[in-house]
Amino acid sequence: MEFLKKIIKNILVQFRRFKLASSLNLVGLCLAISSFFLFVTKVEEEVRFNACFKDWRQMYRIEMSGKMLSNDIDTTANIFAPMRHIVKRIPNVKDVGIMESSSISITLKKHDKGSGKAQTYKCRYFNGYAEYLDFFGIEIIDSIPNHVDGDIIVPESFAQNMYGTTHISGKKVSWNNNGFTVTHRIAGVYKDFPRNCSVSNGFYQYGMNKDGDSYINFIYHIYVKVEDSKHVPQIEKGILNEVKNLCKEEKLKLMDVSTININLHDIHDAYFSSIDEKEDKGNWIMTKILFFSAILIFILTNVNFINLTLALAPMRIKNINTCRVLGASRLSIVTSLMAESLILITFAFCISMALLLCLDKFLIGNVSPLYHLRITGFTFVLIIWAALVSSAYPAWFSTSFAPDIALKGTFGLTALSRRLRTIRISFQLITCLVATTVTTALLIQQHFIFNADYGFDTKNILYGSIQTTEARQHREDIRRDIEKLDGVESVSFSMFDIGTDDRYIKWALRTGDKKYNIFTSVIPVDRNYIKTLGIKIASGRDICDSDSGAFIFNEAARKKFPWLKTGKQILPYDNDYDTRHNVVGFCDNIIFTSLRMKNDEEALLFYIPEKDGLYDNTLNIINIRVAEDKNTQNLRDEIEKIYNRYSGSHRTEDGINLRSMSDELIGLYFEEFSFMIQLSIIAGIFMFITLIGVFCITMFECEYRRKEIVIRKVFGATTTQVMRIFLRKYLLLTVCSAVISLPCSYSLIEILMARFTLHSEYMILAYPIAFLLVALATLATVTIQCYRAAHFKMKNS
Amino acid sequence: MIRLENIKKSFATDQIETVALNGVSLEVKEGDFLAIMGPSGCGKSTLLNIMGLLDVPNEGKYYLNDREVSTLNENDRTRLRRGTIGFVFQSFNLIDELNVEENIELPLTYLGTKKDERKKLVYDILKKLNMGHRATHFPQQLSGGQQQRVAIARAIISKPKLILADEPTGNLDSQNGKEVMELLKLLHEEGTTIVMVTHSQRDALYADRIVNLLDGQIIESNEMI
Repeated sequence: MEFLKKIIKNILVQFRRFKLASSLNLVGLCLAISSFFLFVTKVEEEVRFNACFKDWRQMYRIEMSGKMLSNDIDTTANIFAPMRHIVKRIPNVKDVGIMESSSISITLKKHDKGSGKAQTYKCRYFNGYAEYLDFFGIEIIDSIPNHVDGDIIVPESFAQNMYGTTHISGKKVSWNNNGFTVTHRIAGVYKDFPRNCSVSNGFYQYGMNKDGDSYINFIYHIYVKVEDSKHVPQIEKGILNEVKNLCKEEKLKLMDVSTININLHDIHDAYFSSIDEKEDKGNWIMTKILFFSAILIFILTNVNFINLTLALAPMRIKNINTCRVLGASRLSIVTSLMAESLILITFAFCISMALLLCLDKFLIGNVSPLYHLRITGFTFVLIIWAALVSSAYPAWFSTSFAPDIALKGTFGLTALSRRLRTIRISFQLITCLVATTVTTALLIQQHFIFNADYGFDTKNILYGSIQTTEARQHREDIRRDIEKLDGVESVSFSMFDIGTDDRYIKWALRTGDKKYNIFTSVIPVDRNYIKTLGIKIASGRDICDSDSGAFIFNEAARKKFPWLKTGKQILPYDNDYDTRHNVVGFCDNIIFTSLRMKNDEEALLFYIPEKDGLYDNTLNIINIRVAEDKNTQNLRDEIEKIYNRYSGSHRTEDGINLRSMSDELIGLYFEEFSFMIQLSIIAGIFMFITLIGVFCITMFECEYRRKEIVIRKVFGATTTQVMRIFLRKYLLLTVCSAVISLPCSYSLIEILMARFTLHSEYMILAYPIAFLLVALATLATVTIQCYRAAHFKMKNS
Repeated sequence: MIRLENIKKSFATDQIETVALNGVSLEVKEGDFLAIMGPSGCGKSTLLNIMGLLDVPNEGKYYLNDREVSTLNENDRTRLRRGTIGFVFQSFNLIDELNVEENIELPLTYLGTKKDERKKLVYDILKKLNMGHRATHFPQQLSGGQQQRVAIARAIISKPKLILADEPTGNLDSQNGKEVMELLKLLHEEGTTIVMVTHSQRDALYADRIVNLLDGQIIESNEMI
């Protein structure tokens, strides 16, 4: 106890003596421990995705691949619902699960009569197959005896949040769906699934929905549980044979039967496969980066801790050696110094865990140390080990001199120790430079995404959604009224908002003489579209008012299908309606899908549908071209008012939902931008920790070289001249670190940029910008420390 | 050369204020060799620090070559010190990382002297002090006497008119101490003004004048005949 008291007293004395350095060290330690914990938590969450299911190693997702009248083989995890029956018949299949891949997002509201406040709950609604959740080991915690089709089961979190109890079976819930009120009876409450699994904690309806026997709607994920993984090839073969039979029976159309293949993808690996855009959100690169970042943070923290403890050594060495002169053994001093480090790091650990407990409410996902007890324990053991290792060397150093020499102030690092110190700081600088360069490159790409030439106007277009039947019927009235507004130049309608998705619908067409086939992406638009979006016509003409059922292809289509000419007649491939369309012109190539896809070789067709025809009713996106500097809130309000006037009583809360291209891009690249934010945070943490390291090392060096600094000043060196000695050294170190970091930064940027087909031409600037940032931050830190040292009262030294 | 008028200097900690100099007035003419003596804590070193522009007084005026310097900022004091004042310390204060040659040329680098000229001046002075064979040695490879000779060489390399010596023989044996004092005497004879703080009566005899300090005040000033 006495020993502990002494140690704590020593720590407090050090804190009072070296307030800035000690505080920085503590902040750095807390930041590093919290970041390490968060990164490891995230990595574990990703690595153990779907591992919460019983027998998860025997669970697979069915994927189909094949040619759908194009030359490309597409792989999809979206399967037709009757596949569940087919799979059940295959030998060695234990169980089958089915889940709708395109669920609806719903918002439920509850008004608290007491406080008058409205409480909302957002989740997904799955139209059918609640009974199939047994496949995932669903745990029903409250239920009514007999449920009927149409009843739903809800998650425990919903029950607790909205009702404060899980006993809500039998109650009815209602929500608004596209202007209509939908009501369902709650048949049961299930225990929430963890975040890191394929099952969303939503509302699941019992009973087969309208697609239950449809072979056309490929919108379901089908899962199988096999007896043993070795049976997978046989099962794949069995399913394939069944699917081929379906093709023969003409239940499955439009598929080239010779190219069809079936793949059972294990549910853990499927998460990282990107086959399904909505579900496969796993990112191995980010997971690996997080894992290595956690390791690097741990190492950097160790290095920092050594640096600071070593930096304090010259200032404590007199006291330490006085104790030795007075009879303290070397072992007792080393033990006491190491105990100080242990207590300090334990204190930092406690602060970090408290911080994480507070942050748990604000961060997505559960980051509470109490929830991740295994990781909490692991982090604690690791940092204790780190504290022992990183305090051993400074403790040994402080006691390694003969006391009389140390008391005279004649001590310093050996050549080897100096080299080690250079290696330590270089390692920190290299890590920091790599993280900063990669982050800068991603930010340059982000800037490019927002400012690239897409081939159409992205700055002055507002997109909106026509959501109600009434509004659709008044499309022309809405156009007329909005065009009257001051600042609005043109209004058009289309089926999609262009440039905001990875792919659009594709059509199989053929020429009027049935000689040639065309497979192209299609965007149904109205007559004003080309003009409103500012797309350039390369040859032929733009659409005129009299056009009905006209086609405008892009230049890539003309290159791909050289026989396509203006005036050529085109038919749908199946020609059920014998509708002929005229090609009226060709437009320049535009970036119409995300930058993840190759746009320059992709054929695109703007289809101007026949008035009141099938596709005319699908033009539900309104594109409004506004004059420059007129994209004001007032104008948006006016447009909203016009829309509300025509949209009837069933309009949804978000109304026309006006958005700019930037808003769309943020949604489109949500994953990439989240990745960039995460990486920026990591780079920021690395830089902060590195700067603390540099600060501590310069502090040590200034202290160690204080005598030299003073002698130089006595003999006429100015503060600037003294600082130059240090700055030159650290600049050289930063330059060398930048050179060493180049290959690593380059490789990482190459890997990350492979996601985009188009890159900013200014990507090369990432290297000098990152270097300047790190060099400036480092030199600023060194300058502050040196300035303090150079202004130390000379007479005292 | 030096005129001090009613110089006061005190150091304050949280609770105690220590008066180091309490109204010291003193004049040192060009070519003088002045020895300052007194018991420990009487303010000798503080006085020398103020004379050497390493510290500033709380009160009083300090004229160096008829220029009031007590109010100068640190950079101006640094510039004035260059080439005007040379320092010799009891503990030599050579820079451990620099060799003899580099230590001696240090003041010249801050004066902006060209490298060739620096080399020549260093060579000349080392020859004069019989230290030519030690040019590339590091301080820890030299004896105390040799280190102090290097320190004196460093102090006089820029040909300052004033040398301030703080117990220059304090860390030396009698033989080496004598050699150092002879060297200072020689410099004095060549016209350099020397102000020396010492505890040694024997060393003080080399001076033209001895000033005795007690509790921050001059209690006695004796001209040597």
